Amino acid sequence: MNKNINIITVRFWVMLTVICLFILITAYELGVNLGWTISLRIVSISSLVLSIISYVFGFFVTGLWKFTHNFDSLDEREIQLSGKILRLAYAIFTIFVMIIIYVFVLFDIQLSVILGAGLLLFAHLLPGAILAFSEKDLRL
Amino acid sequence: MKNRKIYNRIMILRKEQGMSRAELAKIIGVNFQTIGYLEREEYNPSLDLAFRIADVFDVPVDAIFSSKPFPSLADLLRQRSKGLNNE
Repeated sequence: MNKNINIITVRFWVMLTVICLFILITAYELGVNLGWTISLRIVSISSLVLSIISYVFGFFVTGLWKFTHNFDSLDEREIQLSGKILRLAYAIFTIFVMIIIYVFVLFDIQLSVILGAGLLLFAHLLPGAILAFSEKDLRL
Repeated sequence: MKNRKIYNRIMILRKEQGMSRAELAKIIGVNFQTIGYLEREEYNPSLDLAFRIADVFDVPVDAIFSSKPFPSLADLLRQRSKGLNNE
């Protein structure tokens, strides 16, 4: 699993995945609450396609997904590093979800299935994203 | 609890054997980047890994790892030549 991929490229794909995921959720929420316009449909579909492509390149091709989900293939230093990253991701995700819940309660907005699914996916993407942005050299 | 720094001679021993980081990594079953971290003393290995490294070079663990910095090769040679002169 020695992949020599430029860290800037990894960060670009990871960033694109997360941004597209948020655009997709926002477009869906706007579409459901304010009505589906053609531009909203285009934004939703293009962000969905882009998020899938960037997800494959950013997480599967680089091995980031394996690093945070398959501990059997890691050595002791990598397990230690992924443990540290998972703890940080858990803390960030908890704060993030709490803010979302408070905002939704404050403005009396209902939580949708897409938002729930998006948050679930975000929870899985976050450790890999933290790893991509905290490590100077990633050769997984 | 913050780990104290463990000094090692992995790089010297590896180069002496003409081994690449990837080769050593393959023998002891770690990612080759981990060898870099070990050699730069940015990561303290577990006891199991320390023994595996010692087995590769066929030397005792305390000859490779120490809690105190190892004297440089030049210092060792100077000490040795002083000792020989005194004899």
